[in-house]
Amino acid sequence: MGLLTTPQREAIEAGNAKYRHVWYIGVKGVDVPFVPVHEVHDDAAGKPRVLDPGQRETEAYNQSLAHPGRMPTGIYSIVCDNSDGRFYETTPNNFWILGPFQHSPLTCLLRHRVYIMLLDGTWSELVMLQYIGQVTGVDYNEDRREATVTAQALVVAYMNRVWTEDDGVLYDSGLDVESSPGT
Amino acid sequence: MSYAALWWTSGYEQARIIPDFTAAVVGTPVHGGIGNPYYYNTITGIKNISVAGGDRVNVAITGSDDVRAHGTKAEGYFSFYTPGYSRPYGGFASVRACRKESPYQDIRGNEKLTFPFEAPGNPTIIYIRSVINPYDIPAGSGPPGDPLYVANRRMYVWQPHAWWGSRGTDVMTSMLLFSGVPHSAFEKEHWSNAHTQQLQHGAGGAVGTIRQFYKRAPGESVGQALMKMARHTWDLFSVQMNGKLSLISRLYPEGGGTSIAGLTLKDGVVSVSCETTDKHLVNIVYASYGRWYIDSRMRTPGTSNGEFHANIKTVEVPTGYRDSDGMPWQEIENAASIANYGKRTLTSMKVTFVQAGFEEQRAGFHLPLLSSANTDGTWAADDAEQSVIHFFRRLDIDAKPRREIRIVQDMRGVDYDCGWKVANVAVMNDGQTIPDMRCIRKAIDFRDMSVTSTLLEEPAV
Repeated sequence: MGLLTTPQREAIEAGNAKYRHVWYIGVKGVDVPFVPVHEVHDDAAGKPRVLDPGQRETEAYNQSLAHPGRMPTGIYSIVCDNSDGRFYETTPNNFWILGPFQHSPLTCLLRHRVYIMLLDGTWSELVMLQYIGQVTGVDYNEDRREATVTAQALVVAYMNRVWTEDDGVLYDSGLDVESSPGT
Repeated sequence: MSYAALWWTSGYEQARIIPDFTAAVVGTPVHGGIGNPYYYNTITGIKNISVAGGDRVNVAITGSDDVRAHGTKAEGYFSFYTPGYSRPYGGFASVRACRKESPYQDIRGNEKLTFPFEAPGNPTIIYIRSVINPYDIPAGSGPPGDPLYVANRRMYVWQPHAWWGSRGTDVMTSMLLFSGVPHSAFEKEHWSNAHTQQLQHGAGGAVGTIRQFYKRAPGESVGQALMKMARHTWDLFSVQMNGKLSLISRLYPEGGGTSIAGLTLKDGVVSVSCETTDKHLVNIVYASYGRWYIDSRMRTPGTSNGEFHANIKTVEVPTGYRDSDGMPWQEIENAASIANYGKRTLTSMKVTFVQAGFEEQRAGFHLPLLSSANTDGTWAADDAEQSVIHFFRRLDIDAKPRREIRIVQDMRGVDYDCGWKVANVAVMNDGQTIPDMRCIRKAIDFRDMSVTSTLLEEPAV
């Protein structure tokens, strides 16, 4: 039993399956992984703003004793049309205004959802591809009026946290169990 | 009032934190008449409490939900109900950090921490297995005039950034949850299955406990620590296509719903390439394990010597090789593989062994986080040796060459994820069916909606 549902598999097997991508910019809510604020793109409605949907890669770590492999970063980039300037931080009503406040893009999240049209004509989400990433940068190509938004999987942002000597807690060195590092 | 001088045994130099608790306030036994009574102690001024998210927290001690404590980071204290008798916690007690108001929610207010990750309402608790160092206050140490202080009392100091568990998943989960990673970031079913199956590392698949210990190292990231711990297991650790963190059991992927029964050219295959690779092949290992052991000697209440430490030292094992620092090493090999492919030594470091008065340089592989505790207060060689023997049952897999298939599919390729078992792979023109492969890499290209997967053959154990 795999990740695809039977109707989804049937739609792919029938050939020329129709897919729909939706991207959002949002924030993390209290106990909610993602709160969508702006819909950047929806294949089924509105202006197609994402010009290059990119790709995502992942790799399993600990493949073998001799060759462990790499831990993926969960990085995902999309190239977007910025001809109206909405990806600039300085433009009014840009994508980084979330609620009443202007945010840095680096505090925002990117969500990607993919749907497939089933044989009965309804959209069905490929939930195994539902992605939430922390925006790590926006690169502006002024010649082409494009903005490349790059994100990394939300959980990777947690894993990138580096333990420090203090860690925000007074006297907590992390070295208090043993006197020498030892590893 | 300070009991700092009593707190640590001086030789362990753990006293960069010198707890400065003011007093112990003792009430009447809170469970008088129900078994042994519990007393309520208050410890203030402990400055090493680190709980992400703040808020008031409760701490419970393993095996007894009646043993409760509370405190806040801001207040700088934690207090514990402690048993009125000496209780062998094996040097460690597990704690769970949760809200006082709702003990089955985590400190961030999410649904309760459960492990395996089960539905809310199931009372199984995930413990953030931080180390607790207990200390017995000898009789007569309390404030004059307090009759209860004449009795022996046990205090606990929570070491929030040192974790220990009977399985790697204990430690990995503790790290992640302590780092504030929400439940929604895990593939819970995979993780739970790996947790269950990690007990099957024993010789011949017997149930065994591979105890592991990790303490936070400043300068190291959470991810690096997780990768280290994953190397101490058999399991495949990855970020899934959906961005969630996954740990998939190598021994029983079916149990986590992480396998598909077959893959043929009819599954939307666009192209296939295959190689037989020896890059995974090793058949001789000089392995060392553990940098520490857990000293769980019980202090006898009322006596002035002995201590009850969650303490870590270089292990003492009477057999096997020893390096120049006295660390134990064992040689493990697969003779059949050596006969076929020659000696293929696993190496991660050069080690200077000292044997019979001479030194010898060899390649070694170190598993520093494996440790083992004997709750009887002794350090017997068999526990530690079993750990490494069990672990290197994995050599049965790694001592063989394996086929690696790179396959491009249409979107039927998202039917299985990274780390999954793909059974009965029949995509080659030789007509062969490979019974067990594992997906080790995956790329989804949204430009043409194609999926490229790399499958690695998994020889039978």
